[in-house]
Amino acid sequence: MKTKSKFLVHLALISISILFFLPIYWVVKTSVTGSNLFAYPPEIWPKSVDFYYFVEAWYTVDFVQLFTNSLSIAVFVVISNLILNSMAGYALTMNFKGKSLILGFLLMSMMIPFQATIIPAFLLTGKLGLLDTRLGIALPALSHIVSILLFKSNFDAVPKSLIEAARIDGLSETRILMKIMLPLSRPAIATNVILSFIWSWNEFLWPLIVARSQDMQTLPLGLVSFLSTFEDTTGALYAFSVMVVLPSVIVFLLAQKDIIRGLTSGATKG
Amino acid sequence: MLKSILLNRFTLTLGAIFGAAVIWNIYVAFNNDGIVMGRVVDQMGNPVADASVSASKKTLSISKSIGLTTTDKDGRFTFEGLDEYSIVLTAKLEKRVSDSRNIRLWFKKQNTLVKSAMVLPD
Repeated sequence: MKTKSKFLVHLALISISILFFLPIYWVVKTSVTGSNLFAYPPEIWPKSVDFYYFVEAWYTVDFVQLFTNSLSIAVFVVISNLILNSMAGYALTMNFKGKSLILGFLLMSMMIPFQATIIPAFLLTGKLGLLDTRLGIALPALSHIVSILLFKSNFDAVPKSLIEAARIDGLSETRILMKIMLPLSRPAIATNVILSFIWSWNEFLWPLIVARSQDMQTLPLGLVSFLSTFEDTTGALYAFSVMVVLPSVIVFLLAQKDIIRGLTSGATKG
Repeated sequence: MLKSILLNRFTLTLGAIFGAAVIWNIYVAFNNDGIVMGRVVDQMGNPVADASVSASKKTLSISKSIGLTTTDKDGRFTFEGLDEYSIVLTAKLEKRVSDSRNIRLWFKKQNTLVKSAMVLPD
């Protein structure tokens, strides 16, 4: 009975996995076959593989420029997220007047969609003179409240006695954060890095508004330009989509263990 | 500690990607003179001399002439400095015109030898 129920559970899991994996498989398959999406009967297995669509996608838009923009913005966002979120998370582990108010304010801010704040964000960025710059594109993503709370929950799991001992030894709060809290919160760091990288890499709306020149466009914007200019180029379009998504997929696959550990650690206090 | 850093999955994966990119760029650097060579024959397989061969740039958006050359006594032709990744070759002699041959290169200015000869109809 136990074997039978295990078999059924695994069968259900495999079926759901196939269902979720099917669109990804279809995009990758079309990027190497160029087959029409609406062809009937649908071609499940590729009859012939042609990697030339990747060459077409590479040269049709300035892929190197788009990739460089996306990468430089993502790296800057990751570094600033690490610094700012860890400091904010550490501050929230202390007891101070107004802490619950600030926590409540942060939680409430998470409920406001970014789209609702785009106009003031745009006006602020314009006044700072950062429109059509990489810093302007990165500005709203320099810190995420979710990551602050993630650091906070990880830092809460560190024994207070350790921090007190460090204070007695004369360490400043900054050095406590760098020498004690961060080394003990590697899963949170990994999660922070991966999430901020993926969010920055896939961001579309804000770069669309801030980037005015083609030199400042990021990969998602390049993909839309490609689609709007060349409508009937299924193979090259899907090849470009694969090239856009590939870096974030690789980063996620490499760090998925750390993400899960980071999201679940601190959930139980030992 | 150095061993653990070197054997870390991030280091290995990103290192492999970086290594592959370096090797590819070295190969491109040694093979990007834009040389396209081929041969023109008639339907009997005999080389055709003094046929004019035109090269056109063909991408998703445009088609444009980028070069013109003539075959030698052995029917061979050579283009140099072609800065494209997709080229269409057509051979002509008087009123005889060959089928267009689409040459797809892996990178711009890739040196290539057109494997099968272009055939001029009688």
